[in-house]
Amino acid sequence: MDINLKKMGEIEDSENRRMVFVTVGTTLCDALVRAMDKKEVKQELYRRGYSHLLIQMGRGFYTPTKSEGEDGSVAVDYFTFSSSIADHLRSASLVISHAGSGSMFETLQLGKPLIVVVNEDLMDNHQSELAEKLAERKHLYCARPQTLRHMIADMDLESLLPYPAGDATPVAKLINRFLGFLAPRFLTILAYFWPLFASTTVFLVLIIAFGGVSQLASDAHGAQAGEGLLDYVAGQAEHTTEPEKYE
Amino acid sequence: MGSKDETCFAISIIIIIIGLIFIAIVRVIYVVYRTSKPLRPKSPKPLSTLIVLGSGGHTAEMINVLSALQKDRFMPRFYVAAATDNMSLQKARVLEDLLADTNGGKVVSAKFMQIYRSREVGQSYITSIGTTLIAIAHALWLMIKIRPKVILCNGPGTCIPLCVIAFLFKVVGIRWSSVFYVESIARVKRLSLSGLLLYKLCIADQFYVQWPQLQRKYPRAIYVGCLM
Repeated sequence: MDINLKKMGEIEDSENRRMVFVTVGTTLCDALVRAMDKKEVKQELYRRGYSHLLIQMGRGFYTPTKSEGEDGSVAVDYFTFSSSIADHLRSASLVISHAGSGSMFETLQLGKPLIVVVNEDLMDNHQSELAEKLAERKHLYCARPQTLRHMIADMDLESLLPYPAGDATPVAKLINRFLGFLAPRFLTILAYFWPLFASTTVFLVLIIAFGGVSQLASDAHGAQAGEGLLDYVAGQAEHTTEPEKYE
Repeated sequence: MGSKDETCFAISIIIIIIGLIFIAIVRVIYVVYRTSKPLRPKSPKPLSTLIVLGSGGHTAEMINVLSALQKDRFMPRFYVAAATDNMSLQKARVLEDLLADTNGGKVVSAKFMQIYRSREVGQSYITSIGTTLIAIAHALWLMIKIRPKVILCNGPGTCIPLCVIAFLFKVVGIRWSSVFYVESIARVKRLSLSGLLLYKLCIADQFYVQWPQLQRKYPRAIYVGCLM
């Protein structure tokens, strides 16, 4: 009973603990960390029912303020790098990520709701292309550091669609075909099936050999039988008289 | 008399140089023509494979491709990643360890190497010329050591020097290699700089893209759907 009660308590605790995990991957994305550290954003998260905020800040220089999470605010904690980012992603109720494709797909494949914040500092901002494309397909929400607060306020996580897993087999097939691995060469087939081919050949040769011998035997017999039949059909032996006419 | 000999000598040297240039051009044209033509091996043997890993998402995509390939056909495998990037080689090691476990006691021939980057994320195009030169020298050393028959890459700048050297090896006749380039899923509307170079210079034998609108824009590319 005691154990059951304890378990119940733990479940309740984990139900109450709704963590927001912020990740910037291996990059430097101070804009995102700074945006998360804003008071309005944290208040908005608390209003939406989140209790904890864990920030993975990567190579960033801006350190957010830690907080224990007293009444009316979220508990904030941060770290730079960790090998257990996958565990943090798994335990999170909401993930806010930079626009790196690695972090985005890792989150989507775990089926976690995701807000991507596009970093506008990068030289060519191709990363937003993917985030916007996936947002268009309703797999995630895409925000800018300035619009993050409104995004958190307005988001409807129920409307997000799960992301189907990708498939690398078409690429593998094309590579194999190009390198000549897919279609087995004639010689390879021959090498693999040579016992079968050899025995079939021997068998055929035997059939022909024996068949040929019995053919000869039946030929002699067949010729006689045919003659008898022709005689019967003709009613008389015409072919013995006809050559005489021509002479 | 002397001047006549000299002019004769000069003319013959010019003719030789022109001849050599002509042969080189013909060879380059032949290599470009043969590139992107499928191989017809007499007996398919395992091919030494160079795998260029990038950071984060690039590596995840490459590992997806690798796990779909038959490992016994692509041996030995050489993994190359940027010197500033430890995570990617780590992930490749995890993959190889997994393979070694499933193969039992079989010896898996995989090597892991680091290379200087030609361009860091966010570096300007002008300064990237200098760093690219250093990266090329280092890449040449690596390629002479490896001489791969297959090169798999998917977007990091580190693959450019390697692929250009592979092309030169083809022209000179050191090693014929097939270059497969998979454009990153992050590229939806435009190719990356590396992708654009490999596409325009016809260095990549097969050029794969993961979004249909890119295939429409670059007709020689092949659309393969999302890898992730």
